[in-house]
Amino acid sequence: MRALIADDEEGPREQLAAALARLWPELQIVARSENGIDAWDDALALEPDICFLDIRMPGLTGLDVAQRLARLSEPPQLVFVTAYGDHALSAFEAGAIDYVLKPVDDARLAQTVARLRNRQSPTPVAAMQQLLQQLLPAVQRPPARPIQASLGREIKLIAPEEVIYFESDSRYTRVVFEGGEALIRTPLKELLATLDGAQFWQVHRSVLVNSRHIASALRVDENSMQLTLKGREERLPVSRQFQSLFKGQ
Amino acid sequence: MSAPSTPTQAKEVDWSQWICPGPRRRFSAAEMARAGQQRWPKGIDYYVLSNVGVLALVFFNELPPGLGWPVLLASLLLSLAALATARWLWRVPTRRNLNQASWVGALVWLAMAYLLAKVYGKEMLKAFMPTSTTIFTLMLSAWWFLTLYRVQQIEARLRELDEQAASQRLARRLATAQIQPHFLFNTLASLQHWVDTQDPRAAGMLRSFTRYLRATLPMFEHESLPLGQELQIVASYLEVMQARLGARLAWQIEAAPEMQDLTLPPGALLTLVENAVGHGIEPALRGGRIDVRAYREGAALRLEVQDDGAGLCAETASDGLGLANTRERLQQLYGARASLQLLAQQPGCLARITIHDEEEHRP
Repeated sequence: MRALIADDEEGPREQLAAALARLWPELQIVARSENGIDAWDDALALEPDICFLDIRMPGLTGLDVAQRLARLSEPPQLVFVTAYGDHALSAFEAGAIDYVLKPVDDARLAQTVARLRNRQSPTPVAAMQQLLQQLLPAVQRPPARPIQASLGREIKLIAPEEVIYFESDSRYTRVVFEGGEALIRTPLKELLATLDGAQFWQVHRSVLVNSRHIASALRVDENSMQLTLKGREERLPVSRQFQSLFKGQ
Repeated sequence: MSAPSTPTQAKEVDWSQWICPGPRRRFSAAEMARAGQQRWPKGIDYYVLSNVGVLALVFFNELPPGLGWPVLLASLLLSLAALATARWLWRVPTRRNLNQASWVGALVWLAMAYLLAKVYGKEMLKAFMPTSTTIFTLMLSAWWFLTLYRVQQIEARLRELDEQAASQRLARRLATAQIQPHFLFNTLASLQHWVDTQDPRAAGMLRSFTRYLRATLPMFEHESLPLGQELQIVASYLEVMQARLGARLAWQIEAAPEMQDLTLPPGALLTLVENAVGHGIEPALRGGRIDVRAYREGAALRLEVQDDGAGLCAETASDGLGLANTRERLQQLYGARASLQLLAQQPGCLARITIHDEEEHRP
């Protein structure tokens, strides 16, 4: 089994890692993420079986990350990590959602570990999504600011709704918009946390596409899928994790 | 303020009550305004007047001829006077007023006896004497009981209001006194890990954390705290957060030396700093910086907490219990001279307490 631990503070993160190493030596900790954005990105890149998510993290909260993870084709098992006094605790209690209290107590963690080891079927995803829906506050996003891209000596302002898709390109993010394209320095994983998830769909770890511009999803073979765009030639890859976004009605 | 009958007083006989009876306690105008505003129960007026009227009519024909109408009129007039006096005692239920009323009543009674003897002769006086004495004594007793009842009513109301105020004050203090469990347990989590791994950071953090707890736990027993002490609490809080967040937090405290003795509601600055950490630094991907400043500007003292973090500065975003509570407690201490504002910065948030000099604010 492979696990990801996400906590923005080093102490609690390492304490949980050490306790897991004691109680579950076979568990391989593949990522220690320092904020919600990294947790999401690391989870996509490494596909862990279990994610231990702190609730209060910068970038994306643990609940945000969980909501995204629960929508994947094969969601990992989720365990929330929080300090006593969090408003979500009673909801976890009621929804039979796994959680661990900080500072981690070996006896309590052992119970969680036993449950995770014996679990035949993964957590009912629908129940988890419903619970997260309740817990996540109706986020009032500040109006999305235009993206500033330098094109030579010019700084171009691109309104998010004009963007067709974003694509990670090694150290940059490529912004393809109506009437051109540009490179910006902000990593894709940070951009996606600030954009409206209903408008911009992540279809691949490195691709974020404006849903208004998607024409169709094509199944290429058993494992791969591609998107065609309205009025454009190029095709965008849909990774296996996101294929459940396109299932026909 | 002295209670009229504490248990020790009850054992001794208060001889002064034989000569001039009445309650010992006098209420100040403020106390009356606070607890003595109950209306005079009008039902008493109707009850007394109707009874006196009916009795006078019943005995109308029993009386010697020619006396019926004068007695009916006199008894109604006397009842009205007695009720007016009772209402006066209701408004100002003091021993002095009760005795004044009694003496005036006695004079009226004597005058009536004299008139009766003059106009109708000594025989008539003798016939009326027992009844009028009884009525007079009953009236005095009624006034006396009314005054005692009234004093106890006001006392009880005052006690009730005091208890309410005390429990509200306590609730307000407890609300601020809460050390956030989230802070407590996250700190313990770091501490435990560093102790487990014998990380040298544990020692410093434990020291700051102890200092923080020692200062915060008894903090709310005081109505106010000098700025110097408050800043020490703020510093130990920031040291703990610094140890936990590492490079994500930078901070500085700058306070003008002459302001060390300025008094503040305990925890006022700490609340602002907790908000700056919780809403500014922790949600920011790359952390940020907190500046705490105390300085004089013209005729006002300014206390500021500024962060350059995630910057949700709207009142609704960062106003939990904390800010409203701090504002209220500042007002208790300084009245209209103190204010608390939140100012949005680019990026971040500035929380500012302003306390105007007394002279400056006088109209």
